[in-house]
Amino acid sequence: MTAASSSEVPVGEDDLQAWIDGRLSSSRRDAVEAWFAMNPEVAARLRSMASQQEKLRAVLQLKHDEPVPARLRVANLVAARRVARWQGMRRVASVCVWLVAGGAMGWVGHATLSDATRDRAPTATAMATRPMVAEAIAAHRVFAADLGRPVEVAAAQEAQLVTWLSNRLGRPLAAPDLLPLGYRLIGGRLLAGAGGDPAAQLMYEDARRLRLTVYLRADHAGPTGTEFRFSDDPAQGVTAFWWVDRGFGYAVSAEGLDRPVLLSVAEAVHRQVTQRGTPSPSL
Amino acid sequence: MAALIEPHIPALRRFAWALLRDGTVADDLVQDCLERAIAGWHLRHHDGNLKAWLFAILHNLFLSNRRRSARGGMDRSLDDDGAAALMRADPTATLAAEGRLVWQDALTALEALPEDQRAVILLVGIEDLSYEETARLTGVPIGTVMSRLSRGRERLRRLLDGEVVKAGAQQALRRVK
Repeated sequence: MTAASSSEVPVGEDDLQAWIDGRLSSSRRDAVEAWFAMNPEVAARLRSMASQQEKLRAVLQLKHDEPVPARLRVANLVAARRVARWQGMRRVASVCVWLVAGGAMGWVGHATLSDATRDRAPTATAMATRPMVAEAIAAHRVFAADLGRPVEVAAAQEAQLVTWLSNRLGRPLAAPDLLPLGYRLIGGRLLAGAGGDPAAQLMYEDARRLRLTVYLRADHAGPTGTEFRFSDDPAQGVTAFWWVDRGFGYAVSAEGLDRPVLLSVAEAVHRQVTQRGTPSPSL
Repeated sequence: MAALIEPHIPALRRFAWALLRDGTVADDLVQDCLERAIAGWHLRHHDGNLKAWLFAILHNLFLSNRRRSARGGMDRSLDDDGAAALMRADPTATLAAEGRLVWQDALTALEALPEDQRAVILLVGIEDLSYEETARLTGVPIGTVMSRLSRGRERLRRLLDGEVVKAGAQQALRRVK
């Protein structure tokens, strides 16, 4: 009778939950409480839930108020990270000596080859014909849709996965960490690229189960350049950002992902691969 | 960065502990979360909510670790075996007249809920994340968040109020036997 317009909407389950959480507007709260008067049994249950939530909060507040252990201090974690990075760099450096020796010989021949092909293969149109990219998109299409067995080796065995793929591709690889972007590694597989070069596909998944893949293999065909290039397969809706760095091609593919989001993932992958010195022999 | 992250650490520890109920394992998870947040600091959306971002990393890690430990199928839903096991494990659970289980400890009762309901109850009810943030973080539509809240809270209430839980009926689909 005294109802304001917002109280004329029937009370729903989400109103009841929001009532427990104290997230209703005051007029809506009045409407819910008026409804409680007519539904005393439900009201009793809801009040019971609200008081249980308070108890739970009280118990958990004790945990919240504990002093934070030293190992969880940001300053300590940052310091530990610096040490780990330094040790990592020393390891990478020893690998790089070996890679530079091998890479330098390949690089001479490679440079002359790419000079010759550079003007015939402009960046913008290179995509459709570049086998590495076509393979990456095709592999994404086939495996990302596979609900039963999307990966050959699951992320649970990340260490084995990385070692195995590194051995097969002949380069030290590391699976980029995309968790800060909301994608967790679910695993990877070994594939055969055009010309028989082994290729690796790493697969990631976000909370909505949307998958993206990182495809990589040795790639000496056509122009190189670390700038990102965009490519898509309009028929299949798969899009990819890719780049070639010192004879190694990378493609980050997804289906139905906004271009800027995919680009930010590609940038994260690129940064991590470059930081780790993997597999760029330029360090 | 430290000044922005530090204020959230107590809440992250609380959430991890409520999920895992083991102080050391929970702090390991928080440490892992913080290390990744620091490493990926430049990747976060500057306009986004830092708290929700940290909780999303933690929750994602929790899910992948759980999958890793090959206990994925073991949702601790309250079926008959589950109730018995919980009662053995929890000295505060008592067997009331008519064989009804009564939990005095809200926290232990929480453990009897399916994991998706538990996470939502904690994120919304304890950590004060909005329904939208919780939906984004757990990767489900907001309607699913609301129904998980509703079902989870109702089960929790029944456990704590000592009502008979018709576990078999509600959970038949969850059991893989």
